[in-house]
Amino acid sequence: MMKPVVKVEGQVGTLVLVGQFDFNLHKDFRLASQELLENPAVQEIQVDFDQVPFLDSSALGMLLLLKERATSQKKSMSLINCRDTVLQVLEIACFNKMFTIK
Amino acid sequence: MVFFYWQRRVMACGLCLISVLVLLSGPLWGAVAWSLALPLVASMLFVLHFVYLAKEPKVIDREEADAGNSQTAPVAPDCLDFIQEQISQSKLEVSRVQTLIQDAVLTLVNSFSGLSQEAAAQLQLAESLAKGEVGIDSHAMSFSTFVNEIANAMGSFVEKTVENSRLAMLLVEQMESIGQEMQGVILLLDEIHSITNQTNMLALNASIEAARAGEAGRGFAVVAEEVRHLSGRTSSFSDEIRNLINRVNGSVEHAEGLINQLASQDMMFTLQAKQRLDDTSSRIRVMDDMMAESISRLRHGVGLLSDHVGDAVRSLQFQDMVSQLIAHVGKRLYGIEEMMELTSNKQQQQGQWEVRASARLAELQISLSNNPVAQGQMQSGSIDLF
Amino acid sequence: MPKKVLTVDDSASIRQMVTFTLKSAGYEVVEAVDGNGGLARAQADSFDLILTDQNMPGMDGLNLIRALRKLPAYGTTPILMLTTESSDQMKSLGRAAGATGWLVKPFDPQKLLDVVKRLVG
Repeated sequence: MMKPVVKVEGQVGTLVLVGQFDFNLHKDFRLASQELLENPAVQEIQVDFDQVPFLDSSALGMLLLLKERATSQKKSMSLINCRDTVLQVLEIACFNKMFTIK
Repeated sequence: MVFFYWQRRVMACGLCLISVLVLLSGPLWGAVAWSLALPLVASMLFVLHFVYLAKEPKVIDREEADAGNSQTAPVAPDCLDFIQEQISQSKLEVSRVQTLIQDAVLTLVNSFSGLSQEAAAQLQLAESLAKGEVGIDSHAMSFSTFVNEIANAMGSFVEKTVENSRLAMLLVEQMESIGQEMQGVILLLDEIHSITNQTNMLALNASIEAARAGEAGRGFAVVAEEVRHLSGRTSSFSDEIRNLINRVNGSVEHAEGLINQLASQDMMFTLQAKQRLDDTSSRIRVMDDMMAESISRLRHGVGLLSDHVGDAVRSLQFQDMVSQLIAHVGKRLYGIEEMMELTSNKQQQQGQWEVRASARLAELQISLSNNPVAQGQMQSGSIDLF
Repeated sequence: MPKKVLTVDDSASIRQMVTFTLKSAGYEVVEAVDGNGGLARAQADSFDLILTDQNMPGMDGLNLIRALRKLPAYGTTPILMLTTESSDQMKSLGRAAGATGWLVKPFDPQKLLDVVKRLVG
């Protein structure tokens, strides 16, 4: 399983996930998110799901934690390039009401 | 042979003439005149009688027979009998019609009332069924309510699951920071290890120096030895701490494994369940639409039934009107019969007959002129409110 | 309390149709077969509306109406004539006798219900 890739373009920091987004990714996800959270230039954190086939609840938990921290740092958050299955899971969890999904 | 009125006149004239002749001409001529005149007059009368009969038409029409003092011939007996027979048969048939209609209509009206009430009841029942007001469970819940409840339950379940996962991930982070603290402790232990090593070295050196100093250094050698012991004990404590820490690390890993299970709930199952719920919902919507259509068709049916009932109720009243009309026909028949009897009894009532006949005729005409039923069809009658 | 109606007619089918129509709409209906019977029933009970035929054996409809109007209980009760007679002469006789209305047979059940509803509710 590959580590998430961190890209920064201007005010937007992108976390590109590769492969299954589950519990085993928690350390790397935490590190990558931390990098973006601590970067003062970054005002918006994007999580890229293009290469993610589906999510389980631990992924949802991690996203919620990231949201909390981003908000406390006055940074916005969005989820991009979600595939159908991923979108469906986000919809069931009512994440469409909490996150901007593109 | 019946002598008509004018025949009597001729006879009277003839006799008068003969009597005059006899008086004028004396007894001899009188006898001759009588023996000649009588047969002459008689034969004249006979001839004239039959000539008259051939000329005058037979009187059948009673109105012509009643007209003033006309010398009409009587109707032949068999014609009269025929008419009377027909009239009495008609009266019987009128009465039978009345009975038949009454009987049939009563049955018809009863069955109609029954049918109409049954149909209305069935429509009511069908409507209740369609609306779902009638069910096995007395607290019958509509399908859509049921599905909504399930959807809500599922929503709550998902919410709790996600929240649990969030807490679990937080827990994991705590576990990790514990792990990191443990690392810090290990580093300190390493420091201690190197310190104890150095202490050992120093103690060894001190012992060597003490031995070189001889007797003066003996006390010093003892101290150095103690220091070496202490160092050794520190080392073994340090090792025990390291073991404990390793065991803590092991527990933390175990805990992380458990949290992994807790946090990683399969979302696919929930996804499929939600899909099935959505399908059911849309199928229920289709059912509801069909139900609504059925209900509106039922309502239309109720309206149609009402119209048919209205038509039937109006038409079934025919019995009353037909009954009255037939009774009126019966009255006419009685009238005819009465006049016929009056006509055939005329011979016995000579002088007064015309007066009484005209009076009775006038009465009958008045009573028969008012037909109680003017209607020619069964459309509903007018309504006047005063 | 359902409103009570008295129907007087010598024809069984008419009585049945009137009863059927009014009962389906929730009224209580009592039948009488002629004028005298009708008068007796009216006195023995209390009715909110009376429907009567004209041509009946014994006491006819007009006489029944006149008799009813003499009773204090039925001085203002709506009384309708339901008959085959349709002449203006008969109608004015009815009005003079005290009838509230004149319905010509055959009656349409919906129209009858409308009139009854208007008169007694």
